[in-house]
Amino acid sequence: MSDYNPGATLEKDGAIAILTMDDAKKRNALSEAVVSDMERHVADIMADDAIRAVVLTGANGTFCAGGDISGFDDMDMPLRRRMPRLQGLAAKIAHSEKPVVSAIEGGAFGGGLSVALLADQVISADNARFCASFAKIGLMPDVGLLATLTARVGIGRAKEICMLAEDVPAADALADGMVDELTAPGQALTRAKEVATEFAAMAPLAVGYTKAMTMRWPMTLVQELAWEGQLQGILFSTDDLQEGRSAFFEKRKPAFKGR
Amino acid sequence: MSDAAPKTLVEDRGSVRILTINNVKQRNALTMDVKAVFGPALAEAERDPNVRAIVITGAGGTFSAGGDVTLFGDMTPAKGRHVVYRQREFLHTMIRGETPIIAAVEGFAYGAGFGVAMAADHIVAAEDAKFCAAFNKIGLMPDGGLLYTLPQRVGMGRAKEMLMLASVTDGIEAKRLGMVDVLAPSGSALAAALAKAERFAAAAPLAIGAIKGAFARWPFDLESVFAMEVDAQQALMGTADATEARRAFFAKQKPVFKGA
Amino acid sequence: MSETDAVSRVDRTQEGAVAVLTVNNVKRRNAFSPEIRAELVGHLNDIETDDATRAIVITGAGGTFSAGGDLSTMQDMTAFEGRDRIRAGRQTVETMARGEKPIIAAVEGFAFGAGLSLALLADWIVAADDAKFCASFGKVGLMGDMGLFWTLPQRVKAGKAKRMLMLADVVAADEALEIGLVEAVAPKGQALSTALKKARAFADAAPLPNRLTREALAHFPAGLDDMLAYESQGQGILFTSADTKEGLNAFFEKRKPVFQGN
Repeated sequence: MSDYNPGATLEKDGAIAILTMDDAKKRNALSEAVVSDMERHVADIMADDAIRAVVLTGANGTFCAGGDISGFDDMDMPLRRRMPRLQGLAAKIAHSEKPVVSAIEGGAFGGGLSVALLADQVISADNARFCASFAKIGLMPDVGLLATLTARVGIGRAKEICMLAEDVPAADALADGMVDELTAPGQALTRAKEVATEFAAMAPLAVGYTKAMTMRWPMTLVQELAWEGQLQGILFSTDDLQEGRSAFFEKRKPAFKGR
Repeated sequence: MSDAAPKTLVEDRGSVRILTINNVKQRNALTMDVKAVFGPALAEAERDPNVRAIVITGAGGTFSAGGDVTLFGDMTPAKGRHVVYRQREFLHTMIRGETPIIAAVEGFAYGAGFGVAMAADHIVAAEDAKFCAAFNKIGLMPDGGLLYTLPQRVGMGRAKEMLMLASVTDGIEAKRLGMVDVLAPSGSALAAALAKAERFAAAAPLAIGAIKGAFARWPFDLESVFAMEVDAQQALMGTADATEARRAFFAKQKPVFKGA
Repeated sequence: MSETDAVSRVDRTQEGAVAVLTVNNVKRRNAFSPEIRAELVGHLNDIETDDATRAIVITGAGGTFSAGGDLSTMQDMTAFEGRDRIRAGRQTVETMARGEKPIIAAVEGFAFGAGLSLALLADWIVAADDAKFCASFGKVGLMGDMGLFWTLPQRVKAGKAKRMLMLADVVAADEALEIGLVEAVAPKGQALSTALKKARAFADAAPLPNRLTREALAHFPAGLDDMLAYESQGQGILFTSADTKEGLNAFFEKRKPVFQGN
């Protein structure tokens, strides 16, 4: 492993950005190198109007092993200061208004599972494993997992997964709603790119506002009605709506411009 | 079982405490005298540092038939409100406590008995167990926390049908809907619950407490979860159990947690 | 058909204690026009104060539920005009969500766009086995409305709900049942008769507790203490109702109770 170079890489393929966590020695754990690269790439993706969907994945045949616990015992910076940094990254991904698809091979553990579930859709190889491993090292889930997992699998299963920190095989993860689709081993990224392409064909403002609304779940009816009025009101004034109407009446595919 | 027997039986199996509602004559109805014993027994289990998991079940092959229908004789609205209001004492202990609670349901979990089962963190049901929010049949609305707990488990559409039509759900259907977590053959719900309780009992108790406490604050969105995590994780990170867990993790051993 | 083609209205018929509201704008596949909205709200308000009606069925004429909003009316508008347009639909959502009588939706054919939103405001939904559901808004550059971001996640887990909302997935009846989007599936052509049967069960149930239950659940998402306060206060009122006396008598006499709603 002479060219060991931990971090995260960004590839742009048309309207799709592919963000890959890559730390061969630590199974892509959220080390300083990985996190700082991700921060930079996420900022890049957000500022790039040509990018309409994001794929989030891991190199080295796995997704992410979670927090980098090898440094726990000699950590100087208090957790109260360190954690908001990871949460900030998570919030940027969650609130990006660009749809995100996770592609999982191998496994997603601890904070890696939290990162995977920040996505709008989760595609997993059918031999992957998942574990909210936090309680195994005496901690509680973080980086938003309680919110994202509970919304996906319901509170009963979420409690069991978080409290017992037992491995969840891909088939169970699909049945529970933790992931959305399974592929043959090695095919998660390919399928995730297809789903991202579906997202990229949708009207970007509409899909972005829709994502923004889902990220505010759960909401009361009063909140919902206020927000839908404002956001749908804006969408009513867009060129994309007129393009969508024309395409519908002319029975052709719409070409949305995001304005 | 004579009337003199305690209305809630208490038994320890290692670090698992079993609380058995014992009012067999009335199919374990949650009468005032049952609640007078059950509530404190639950609170005591919750306080005891040696208890790492609590199993709640019913004696005589049934969980609980619900409230006490003989109570209604001299009812007033204020008395009625008070009777239901007082249930929050044990519901708070169940939902807001720090010890994981597993319900083992055989036979009937009706009315407030259904509420007790749904307030558990983890629910084991016999295949032929029967759940029913029977309240509407006697002109009452759901209580026992079901308005809070049931929609979280089965979704609003199914919850409304169960709560407004007092429909009966058996164990198999309950498992399919996510209303219960584990299905057991008839007669073996308690055994299955105890096996599961062992696993909850082996987990790091402070982490479990923090996780349970966070879930009890539902509804939460992503931002409020971020806030809860920072507060709890900071405290957990410095505990002896977290250090022991990391040591065991790297040594590939089973950790031994002390709850400190 | 020419006469039917021209109408845009909501018809009300009565089947005992059940009011049946039929969205009737067949030419536009029961698109959700302003007239339809106004008529729906009018009927719901009438029913709210009609003690003889204890349950409501909502369905669509001509073998379909509703294809959603009317695209032909969505010409250029400003964002504020758009907001006004959405606000005009708010009364329909609030009337259905806050009303005190159970609503059953009978879905044949399509429940697309606002038609999906309308169906999801019901308490209990039955779909014909060839019915299709779609949050089709995204196909024309819009997002869900009429309360959809409130109702859908109450029924459907987040992964699937997001796919429906963000990719406008079409969901067939059997999948709708599996994911909790609907409560029952009936053979094609029998959604209405199945809905009526269920509506009669709702009508036979004690109405007072269900009014309080429906009101409480409309506070979704509410915390534990809110719901505990709600149940103790509501139960206090109900304990002394004539219907509770009737329910208890029926229980001890092992017969079916007959509830009067008092």
